[in-house]
Amino acid sequence: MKLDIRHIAKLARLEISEQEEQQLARDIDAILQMAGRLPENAGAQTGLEADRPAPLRRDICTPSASREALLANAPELRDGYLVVPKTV
Amino acid sequence: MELYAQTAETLGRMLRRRECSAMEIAASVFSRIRACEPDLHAYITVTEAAALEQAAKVDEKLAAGGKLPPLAGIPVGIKDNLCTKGVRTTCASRMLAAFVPPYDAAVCEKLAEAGAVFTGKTNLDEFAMGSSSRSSIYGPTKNPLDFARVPGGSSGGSAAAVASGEAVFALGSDTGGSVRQPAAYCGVVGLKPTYGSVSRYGLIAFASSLDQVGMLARSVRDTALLFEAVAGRDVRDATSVEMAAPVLTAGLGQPVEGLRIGIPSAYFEGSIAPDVAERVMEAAHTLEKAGARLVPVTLSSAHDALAVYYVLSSAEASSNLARYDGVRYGYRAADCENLQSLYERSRSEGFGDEVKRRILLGTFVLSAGSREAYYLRAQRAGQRIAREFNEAFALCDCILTPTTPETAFGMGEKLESPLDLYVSDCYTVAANLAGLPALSVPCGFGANRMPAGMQLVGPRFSERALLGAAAWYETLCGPFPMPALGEWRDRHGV
Repeated sequence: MKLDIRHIAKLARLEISEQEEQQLARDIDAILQMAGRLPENAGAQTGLEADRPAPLRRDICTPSASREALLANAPELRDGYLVVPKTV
Repeated sequence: MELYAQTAETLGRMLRRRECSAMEIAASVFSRIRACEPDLHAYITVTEAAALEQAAKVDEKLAAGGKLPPLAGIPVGIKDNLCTKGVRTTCASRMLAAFVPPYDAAVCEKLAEAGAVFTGKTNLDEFAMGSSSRSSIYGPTKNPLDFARVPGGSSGGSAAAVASGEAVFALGSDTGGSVRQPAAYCGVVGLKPTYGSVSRYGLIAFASSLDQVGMLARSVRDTALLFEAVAGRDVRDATSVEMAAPVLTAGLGQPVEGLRIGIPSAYFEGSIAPDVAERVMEAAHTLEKAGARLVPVTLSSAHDALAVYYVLSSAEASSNLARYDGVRYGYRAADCENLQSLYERSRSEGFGDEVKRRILLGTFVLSAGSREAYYLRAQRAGQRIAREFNEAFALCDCILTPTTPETAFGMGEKLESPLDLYVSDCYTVAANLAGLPALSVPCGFGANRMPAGMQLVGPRFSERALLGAAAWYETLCGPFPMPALGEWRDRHGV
């Protein structure tokens, strides 16, 4: 698939200038060319490894950071709620 | 010798024999920080006041006759992508310049329990994406041996701090070589443990299937001490596992009878600098003369590792960094008209060029029409690399390679194309793709008198064996020299 930097930037929620667009396209294309030389089929894809089962933890409530502590880094708060630009 | 230049092991012994106090150790390291920082810039944040309080507590405990925890009073630097409660954690990014975590990373909790004294937060490439520590918004870190050269990256601040005596040892993170490559460039030891052996709770995520917290120190035994203090299962990181018998330091440095060291010829050919290849092979022969056996092994898919790494790590980064949207924490652009522009402008103004490049690459390889051609293909190639390593370990106990293809390069070099820079990780990324432990050990100096590093890679959870082999090498060659600051520059009158 052809690399359409503008489209990709939109998906990634990034704004890029026309000047950046050309440079980024060149840089990313060079990396993709390197990736394009990988073997088409390097063997079957394996999933989770049976010898390394992920241990489950018990579903028990434990104390965590307070709401205030977690919200202390928010750029804008009003009455304990996050503020964003008007959406409707 | 000044206290800042001593190893953690020696300082621990001196402290317990009352030959020095924790306050004296801290004072020595902070005076070193004041002397070196104008040239080096290894730290983003120095936490001297809190450190002196920690040191005073150690001294009180000692005076009261209490038993000291293992790392009591030892100054440790923390890479600024590991969360520290109440101390800003920036990832060297505008995005997190004002972020003050409400919690400590698991490794910081463990170090605090072990009595370590936190010197501050060390510089890095933005979001740990880079190999030179130049993409920090706070400005680059310099190589302590030669200020005109990079310290490597992304844990360049940690490596420079340890090499210069601005910390006794330090934590970093290693996604594709970010502990080992700067360790090699600065002439210190760097360990990337097995995936899962250290909790990543509180490590700001870059590529979750590859990220691992790593250790940098001036001796192999100090590296082992630091690893021992932070390893182990933590329920808050589902990928972490309990390791059997984590007592590592006992017996380290003894000869390892009949050690079989795999030598993959693919790692000594191609673009490697001849002086680096020579130093690394000399190190291999030193071990051979002392009783190890060198075994040729084949890692034919090693040349795929770099491409696999950049596809997979960027894909995961694009997903992990989607959380930075200017809403809950992190940078928010001013005066946005609507939510869409809040997201786009906050991200565009908050992230630097390299981070954006990787987010875009990652978004592309995961997008409809590209996923099979790039992402899934890279995953299969990565698994083949892991299989090859496992096959090689049937023939040998560990694999010895160069850590990097050349020694530290100039501050102004490799800025044209990102690929030029990526190549410096070509020998380190495979261990991350395969989840294997890997250790970089200084092994002499290149033609430009900058340090060269050899890398030992072992089977999963073979840290004890890797550290044992490295400590044996250290015993054979003597302690790794701590260079005078800017030694190269002074010698050459530049």
